[in-house]
Amino acid sequence: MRYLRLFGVFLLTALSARMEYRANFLAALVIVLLESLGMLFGLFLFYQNGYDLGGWRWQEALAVMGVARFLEGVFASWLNPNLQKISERVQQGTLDYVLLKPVDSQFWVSVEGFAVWGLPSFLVAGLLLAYAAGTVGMNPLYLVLALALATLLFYALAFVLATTTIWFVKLYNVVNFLGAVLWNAQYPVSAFDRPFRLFLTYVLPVSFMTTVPAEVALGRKGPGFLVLLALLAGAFLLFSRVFWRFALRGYGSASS
Amino acid sequence: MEDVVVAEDLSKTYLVAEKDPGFLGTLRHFVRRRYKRIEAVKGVSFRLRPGEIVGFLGPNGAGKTTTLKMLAGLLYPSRGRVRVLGYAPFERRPGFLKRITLVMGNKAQLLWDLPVLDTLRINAAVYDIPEPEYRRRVERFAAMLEIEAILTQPVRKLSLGERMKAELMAALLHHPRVLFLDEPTLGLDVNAQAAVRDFVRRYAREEGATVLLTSHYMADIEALAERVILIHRGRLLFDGGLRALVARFAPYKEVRLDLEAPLEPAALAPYGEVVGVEGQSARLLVEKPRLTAAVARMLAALPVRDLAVEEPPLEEVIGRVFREGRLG
Amino acid sequence: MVRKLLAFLSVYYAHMTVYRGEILFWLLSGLAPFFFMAIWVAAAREGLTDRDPLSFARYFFFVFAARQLQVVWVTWTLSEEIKNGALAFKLLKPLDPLWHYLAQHLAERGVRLPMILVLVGVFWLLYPGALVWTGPGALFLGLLASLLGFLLNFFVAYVLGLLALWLEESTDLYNAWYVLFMLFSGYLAPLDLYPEAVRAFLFWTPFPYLAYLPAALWAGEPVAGAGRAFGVLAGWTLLAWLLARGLWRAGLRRFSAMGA
Repeated sequence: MRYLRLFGVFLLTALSARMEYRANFLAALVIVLLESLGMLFGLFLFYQNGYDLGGWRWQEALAVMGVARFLEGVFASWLNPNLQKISERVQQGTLDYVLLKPVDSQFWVSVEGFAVWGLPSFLVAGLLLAYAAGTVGMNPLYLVLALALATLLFYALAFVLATTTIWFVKLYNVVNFLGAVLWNAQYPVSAFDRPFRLFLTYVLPVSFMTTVPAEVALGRKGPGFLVLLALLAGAFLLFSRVFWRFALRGYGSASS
Repeated sequence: MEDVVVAEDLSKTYLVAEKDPGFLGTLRHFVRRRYKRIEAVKGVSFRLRPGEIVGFLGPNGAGKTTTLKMLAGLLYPSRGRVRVLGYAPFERRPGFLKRITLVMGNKAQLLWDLPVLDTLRINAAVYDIPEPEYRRRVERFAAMLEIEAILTQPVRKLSLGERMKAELMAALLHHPRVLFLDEPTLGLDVNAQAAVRDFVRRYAREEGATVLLTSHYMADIEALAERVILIHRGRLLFDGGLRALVARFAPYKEVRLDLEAPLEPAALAPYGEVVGVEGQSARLLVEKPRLTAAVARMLAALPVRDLAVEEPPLEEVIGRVFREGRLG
Repeated sequence: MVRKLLAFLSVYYAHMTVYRGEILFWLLSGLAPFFFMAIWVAAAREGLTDRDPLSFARYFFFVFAARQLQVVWVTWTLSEEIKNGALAFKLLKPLDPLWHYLAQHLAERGVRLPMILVLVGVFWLLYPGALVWTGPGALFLGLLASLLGFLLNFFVAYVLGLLALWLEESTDLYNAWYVLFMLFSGYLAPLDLYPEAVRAFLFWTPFPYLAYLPAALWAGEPVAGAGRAFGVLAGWTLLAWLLARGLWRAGLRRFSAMGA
């Protein structure tokens, strides 16, 4: 409850800081729309020739893209601004102030910031998912649950990567890397050639963030996969906490 | 009463990687790293009683900040025992964190793009300060620091002095009982320094808070602290009252001379250690046992217009201690 | 000048090795061509087009290589240094800061190249037979196209970075440029699969020459009107350079007026 209130305070504070950047918001809107159109065009190149990306209807493939867009929104709104700031906090030594607050430090560094330019992605995600739901049907409850679990899994993985910046301050790009891999997973995982399919499933579980949630919501996979998602997300969350604690032990806090 | 801060045999060792300059150095560094062990703090012990204001002194790199960070719970000691308010700082329990604060003169916690009030509001939520109480505290601190007018301005538009005052406000909003202040007056002008000092003193007195502060400005220490702890190259050199420090390390008095005509330093040397000669005025350090005799001889032999005997400035005393690296 | 440049390169190379982890993850963030390759290879196995799977693998590998040679970040450096005033120090030196940034990028390529070689090895194992030697001419022309593409990218990024003097935030504009690049350069699909009308239009924009042209040259694919292609590319590069110079002059006045 207290954390929920704090989350609200953070959000309002970040919003009041960012209102000055209306131009950025507009730029982001244009970029996201353009990019989405481009990705749709890329998808269209396959379907116009009668290829179905390994057994997906056009509308179903759009649902995968919608889920990916949603996570892209989470990434741009919260993960990117916050997690990239961790290395900045370490370099400038202001992580000290976070550690001295009687609030969970992982919570603080994960949600303090917020960037409005993630919002256009949510808009596009909504349009794509609505279109898919309207044409081939989706279970709304499963969709919401799957999106929430995919978000948690994505967050946990990104947070683990970002935590490494406590030791390697120069790893500014490490979070971007996950964003880039997610970006590549906008198409159903079955569309990829085998080594990449295996990579997206077992090395970085990105297919569990985009393809699997879409499949569950579309009814292509049973609700049992929701349990699997929950287990996976839970395990990664737990690991991210342990890893963060461990990293703080080694955190020297910039001297003087 | 129970001691507020207890440090016993406190030590901290860092490993630091080294690299030679230039391209070859880079390649070598790439392949195989050399590490150097740096003992920042070596076996430091002291205790602070409730309500004490203690100055923590030492040259750059003496280990002051490292010690403060161990006390605040940011660094895990390599050896030794620390207790602050009965807590082990490194566990950073909420009960501990709500009763302490750390202010670092060279690091900001205020949100750069936003007015001071926004940071204060976040801190109020963080420390569970109820709205009416929050208002009361902001009003009181702002009046004490005389910064009511700037609270609604973005932090980036503030002057250094205003920013530091606002930092203090944010750091003390939760009414901590133990204050760790690391160079709180760094870079401030004389007026702002005085304002920060007065605020700290008043807060400590009214709340009965314990303060451990480092500063490069002896004026801060003289104005605030009755007791000082000196540390040099990671070791404790001295722990005691300011007067005792002067008596122990400076068995001198400073003699100020106002002369009828300028004199060469060599002409003054027989009477004591010449610290400075400027036109017709001169300053000498004279050992206390020889003071009376030296003054009498000077009055007799030199064209003295006026003569005054004073305690030497604290800066000189401390500087002397560190230059000699003398252990008590 | 050469001595200066060598000194720069040596210092910046040392500086860049400090950022090797960062560069590695940046490199890994640029693997998109391989993912799109994986989709096209799978599609080609199903007989989607008359291209064989290996030709897709080859094409996308060279798209990746060309892109890696052209990566720039000068927009970020410039807008950062304009905002925090660090640019002022560079202006006090009797050398155009452009050379600093250029040397930084060249030095970074030196750290990046060995990492790319490792990736080449992995690719070789995954898709044996995809990499073929197409002769020194193709290699040279591909490198030339990549170099021009790098300069074009660099000057465009330079111009956008300088805009930070007038705009609050200019890195967004570079992101827009990057999105256009992704969509229109053949980065996500070979341009010969695009509809004819779209393609004809695209060949007047700078984008196809950043990825499609060098990749097709290296892969030994037929490039229609290669001479005209180099002409258009050189033209755009020249234009970007002129724009960068002009904006720099205007920017100096603006910078001193801002008193930053």
